[in-house]
Amino acid sequence: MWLALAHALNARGVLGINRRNAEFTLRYNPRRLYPLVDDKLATKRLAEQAGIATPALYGVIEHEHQIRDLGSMLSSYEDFVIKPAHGSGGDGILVITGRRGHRYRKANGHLLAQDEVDHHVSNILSGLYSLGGAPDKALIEACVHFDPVFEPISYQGVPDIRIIVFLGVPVMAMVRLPTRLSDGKANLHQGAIGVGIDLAQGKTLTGVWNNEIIYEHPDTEAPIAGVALPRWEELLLLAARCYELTGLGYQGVDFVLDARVGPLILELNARPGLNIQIANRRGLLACLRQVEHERCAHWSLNERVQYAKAAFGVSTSV
Amino acid sequence: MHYLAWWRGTQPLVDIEGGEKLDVRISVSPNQEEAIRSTILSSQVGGTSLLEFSLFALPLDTQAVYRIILMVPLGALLLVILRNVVGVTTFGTFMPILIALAFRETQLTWGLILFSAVVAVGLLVRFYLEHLRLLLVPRLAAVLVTVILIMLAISIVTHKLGLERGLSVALFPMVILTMTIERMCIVWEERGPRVALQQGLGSLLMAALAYVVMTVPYLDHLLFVFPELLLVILAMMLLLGRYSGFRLLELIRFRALARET
Repeated sequence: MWLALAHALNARGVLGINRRNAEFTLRYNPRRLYPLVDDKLATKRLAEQAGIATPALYGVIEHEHQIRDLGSMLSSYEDFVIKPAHGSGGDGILVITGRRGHRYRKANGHLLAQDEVDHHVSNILSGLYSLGGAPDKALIEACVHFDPVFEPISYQGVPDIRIIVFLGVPVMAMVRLPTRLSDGKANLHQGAIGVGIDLAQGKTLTGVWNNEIIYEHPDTEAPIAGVALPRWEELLLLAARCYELTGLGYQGVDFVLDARVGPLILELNARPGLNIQIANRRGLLACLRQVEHERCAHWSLNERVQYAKAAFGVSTSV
Repeated sequence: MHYLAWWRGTQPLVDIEGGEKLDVRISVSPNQEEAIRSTILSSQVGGTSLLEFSLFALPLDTQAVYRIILMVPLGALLLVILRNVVGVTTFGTFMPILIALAFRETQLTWGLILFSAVVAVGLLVRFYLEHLRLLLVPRLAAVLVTVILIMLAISIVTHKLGLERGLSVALFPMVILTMTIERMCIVWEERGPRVALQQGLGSLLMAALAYVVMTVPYLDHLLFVFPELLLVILAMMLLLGRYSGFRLLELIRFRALARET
């Protein structure tokens, strides 16, 4: 039974963690490039130098004593996001959507006092959320006002778009929708919904929530499939550009769509998760192998995006 | 049927004067070292002895330490299989091995009870410390002291109750316990109690499995007499390091993808 299952998954070109590590991240992502994407502040600077927009940076907290002034530093902002520079998997991200008197309102509606926010920042600095517990920095960024296209299908918090880029070619994409369960965060293992995207047209497919296939958003009950993402071509071009930006052969690029400024890069990931396969209901390995075989080194940015749309769209794929 | 002669001769085994109800007991225990030594010596045809450069040349207490250390790679191999072939996650990479080593002294049942007790009480204290909003390192140190206090309390109470096994709680690796409590608490807050308990039980189960494997007397004997077997274990690890197939739990995770055509 196990063997049959493994066989079926292989036939469908599903990529497992062991193979992703051995044949893709270890082979195509040189270790020396990791700091560029593991430190969100470094990623932000890199993107800005290349003229790619990221959420506005309100401030960086690097030392414990700076926390005393946190309250006054935040006083001019109604909403913001606090995140660890070296965090992974969405851990340690605090989304504040508003205020009520002296308290801050979290994405899920809970109120936090100033000392609770201070303590969270202190935990970030101590390295609670960073790899290996190394001391970290806390970034305070603008809370994105997401594009109204997502209004009916997200619940508190900001949906984001993940595109996997292999050797400069986008191969698979999904939207992650926050739910009541995920506390405004867009990480699948925290309870967000993953929705596959047709690469050719930028339209959403079905969603996956806790490994279950769903057709409506569990909190808003709006249908998930068939939503056309605005500025899809631009998103693909930006994602493909990240290959030249970092030099990482296999990476995940996370975007948010801001209602006013358009696509912003949230972060880059050198070891993107494999749930995107469940969201798209197809295997990643087949796409990656195809790129390994057919890609030409001299392809321009536009050629790579056109190739991706032709090869990996739902209606066009083999 | 084998017979072993205890006594030969015309005299009785013991004589008693001025007493009655004579009771004779003979205790026997095998001495492997001597047996192995004499086997090797008897098979030798002169020349310098490799035995001089083997584990048997070491002082007895060092030998006892190596007897335990040589089982660690076996536990590590099990861990590699469980993590990369099965796909289980634990709190800390080598935590289950260190807990399994402590189980050697406590025995399995007592080990499981003591471990759960220390972690449960430690977690309660850790939840209280959350309210004090301490910095990370002082908080870890505070949990460490708490862990030692819990171990002390368990030792004293079980000793008073006459349960001598409880004393061996002192052999638990306290830093590992502290880190386990801290990680479990973070997972509890970030992902909920279900995931935290799931991972905690998973770690405990792996420790129990590692204990079972690391205490098989046959393997213990083989590794001590032929420490070169470590090279075989090393080779298996290198092979597993290049295993790129699915993990068993991944098959379950992706099973929806297999059903589609």
